[in-house]
Amino acid sequence: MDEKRPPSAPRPQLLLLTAGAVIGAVLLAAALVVDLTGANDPQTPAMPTPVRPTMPSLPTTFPTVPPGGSGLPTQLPTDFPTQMPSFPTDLPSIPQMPGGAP
Amino acid sequence: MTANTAPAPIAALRAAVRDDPAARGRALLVVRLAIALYLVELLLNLVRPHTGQNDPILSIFQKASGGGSVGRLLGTPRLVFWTVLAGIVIGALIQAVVLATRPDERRARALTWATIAAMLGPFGLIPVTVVVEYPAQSLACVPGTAFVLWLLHHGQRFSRVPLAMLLVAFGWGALIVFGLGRAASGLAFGTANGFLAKGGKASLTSQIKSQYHVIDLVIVHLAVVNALLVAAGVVLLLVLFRHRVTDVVTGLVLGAAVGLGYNLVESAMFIRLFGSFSAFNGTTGGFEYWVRQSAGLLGGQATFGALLGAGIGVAAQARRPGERRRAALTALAAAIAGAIATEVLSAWLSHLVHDHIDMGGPFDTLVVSPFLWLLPQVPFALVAVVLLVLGTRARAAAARTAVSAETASGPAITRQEAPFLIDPALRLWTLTGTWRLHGWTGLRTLRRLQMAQLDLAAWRWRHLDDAGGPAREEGDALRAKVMRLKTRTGAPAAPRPGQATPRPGQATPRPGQATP
Amino acid sequence: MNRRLLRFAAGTVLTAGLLLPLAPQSASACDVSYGYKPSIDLKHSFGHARTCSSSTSLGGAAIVAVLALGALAAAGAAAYRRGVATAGAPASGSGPSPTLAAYLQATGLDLRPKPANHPPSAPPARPPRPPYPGPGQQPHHPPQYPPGPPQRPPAYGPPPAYGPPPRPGPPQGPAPGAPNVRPQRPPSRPPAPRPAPPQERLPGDGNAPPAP
Repeated sequence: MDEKRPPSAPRPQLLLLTAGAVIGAVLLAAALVVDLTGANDPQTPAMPTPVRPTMPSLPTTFPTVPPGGSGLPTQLPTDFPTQMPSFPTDLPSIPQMPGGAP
Repeated sequence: MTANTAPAPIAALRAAVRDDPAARGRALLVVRLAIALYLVELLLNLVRPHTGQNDPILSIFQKASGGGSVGRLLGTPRLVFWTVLAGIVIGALIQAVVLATRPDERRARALTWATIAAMLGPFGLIPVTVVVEYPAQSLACVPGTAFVLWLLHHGQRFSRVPLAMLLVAFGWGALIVFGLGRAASGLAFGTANGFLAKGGKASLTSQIKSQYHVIDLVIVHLAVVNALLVAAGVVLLLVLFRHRVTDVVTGLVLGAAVGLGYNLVESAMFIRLFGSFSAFNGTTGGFEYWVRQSAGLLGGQATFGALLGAGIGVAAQARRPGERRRAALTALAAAIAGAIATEVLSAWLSHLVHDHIDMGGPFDTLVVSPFLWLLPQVPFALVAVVLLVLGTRARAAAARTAVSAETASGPAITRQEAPFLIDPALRLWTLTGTWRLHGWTGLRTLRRLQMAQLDLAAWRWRHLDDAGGPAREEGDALRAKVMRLKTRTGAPAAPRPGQATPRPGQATPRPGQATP
Repeated sequence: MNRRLLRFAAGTVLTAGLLLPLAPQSASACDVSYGYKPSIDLKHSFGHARTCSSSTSLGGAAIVAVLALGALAAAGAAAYRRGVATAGAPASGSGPSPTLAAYLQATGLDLRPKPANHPPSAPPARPPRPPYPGPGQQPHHPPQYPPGPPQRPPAYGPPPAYGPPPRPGPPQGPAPGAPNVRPQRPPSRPPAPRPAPPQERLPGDGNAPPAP
């Protein structure tokens, strides 16, 4: 646009735009904080969250849980009493799984 | 550039558009940048790490399991994608032809428009698909949008952008911003997925988390791309269309129109999609309509577009490069940040009140949910409103100056008429009074005269210092038009589209008129 | 293999989550947009999720529409009333306000309904455009502008010079005594060459200007 323009931009308008940008920056920072801290992510459901990286595929590998991980209570023979107490913390909801424990 | 054989609307449109090489060059630059953005997205998608063995070469080729409309809207449909690519190639070829053969002005003009149409047109297929697929929902969104457009058109004081400009802005928002934004974001989604999704070894939780991160990233991407495209649209319009006054109100109105177009298509989509999953998300189609097209009709992209446009208008008006950059960049930053913050913070707030509000009740539907959606947008809406008020006030002052300057130079605007032109309330009073006395014909005649006089005053405002300079012909033509309307006695003379191109031979000699 | 399947299932389902939250919300605030992530909360069963119903929403939309139209009407009425106040109350209940009449005269528009058989040309006695600045116009003091609210423009009185003498050729400087709100106009602009004969002369216009 090379025609003559009316007088240059008035100061209040520039200030307002800057204010808008500042407000945006503040809100954006808040949004980023929310995003990065995961505050917006819904709580992961009552699916088992393994303390140790042992049961990534629990639901589908239900019948064939690797022996190294905390297996199903029913699969463990009773001669591992010392390890039993660890299960409840790991598998709170297994009995609720459809197609549940054999 | 007279189009004697084209039908009147096309002739009017052509007259309203600037076709000189400089304008064309700028338009092409904007278009090229938009296409470059898309190609970068494409490239990134091509080089993304593949997460599985059967990942297609472009993520948008992946068949979403949802199929049907969901699949169609998540990824660009294949047909549209190939059309887009074809358009880009054709556009590039035309550009090469132009470079090689250096055609004459007329042909260069036609080829430029052909390039723009070829490169950008196919993106419009995406929103067209949405509208055609969901006609009822789209139609439902029309009345509210039309109302706001009408307000935008008539609410401008003293000098309005041409209606064609406003409508093209709306079309840009609906077709290009939505289409190109979707296409780019679909690609970005796949790219982000490729880069962020954890491999097969990760736990389900972390995979879910990474998916959320992908969604967050795509939200950011969508906000950035939308803002850039809205800005590009406003810039294009200001460059290409003839208009009298470029100031904050001009930009704000154009930006709001662009945002309204985008909102229309997006609302239709949300009404349909969210509405079909109400068992899962508590949302119905009616609710989305309520939030997006009723309570929040002026929100969303309309607000951010208005803010962005206002900044570009201020930048266009400013003289010093520092001011221009500052205006444009702050507006862009505000729009982008606002869009991101709206999405994230409103969702987070909704999360927070999770257990406190009864979902689905009238209180939730009518108050809480819209409120939470609109709350992060309020500061930006306030800034836009204050900018509008300031701009309108500046225009009122300018009207006074310009009208009084014009009364000095001819009988086009006499001193007796001046106060009626300056004060909109007085003008409305004269119009209603005339309607009472002389009916619709009288009203129309008077209104036409007043519009022409205001147009002349707007020209004068722009050329306060150099009314005798190169723009003199334009001023003469405008004055001639006013005098013609004054002497007309109700039966219209040969209809002519109101345009600014000086027409030699029309300067009606006025008795003793001081020839400008 | 199962891992892949699970990943694929989760992936596609969450792909749809770009637009749709996918699991029943346990509580409030119906989802509006992309960022509203689902809370896969199996505490509440699928079937009983309550929705923000369409009927309520559309009722709200109707209310907003009514409010918007009402606001528009109120604004228009307020503007009209402001105009009336500025222009001054009409002298009598019926008949056009003198201000309006004077204004219409100032515009020079002829809005009288014409009988059908009159040619659309201007009748010869039609007041020409008020010459600028007409002699004897000084009493018609327009409201000062730019400053201030427009005063009532009441005393337009006798319409400016009917059939004034043709203006002398030289362009007008500031008329004697006229309120000089004009910015400096170059006082003696030469008449621009008029390239073509004027096309719009009305036959009845008696004030033939001096030819260029």
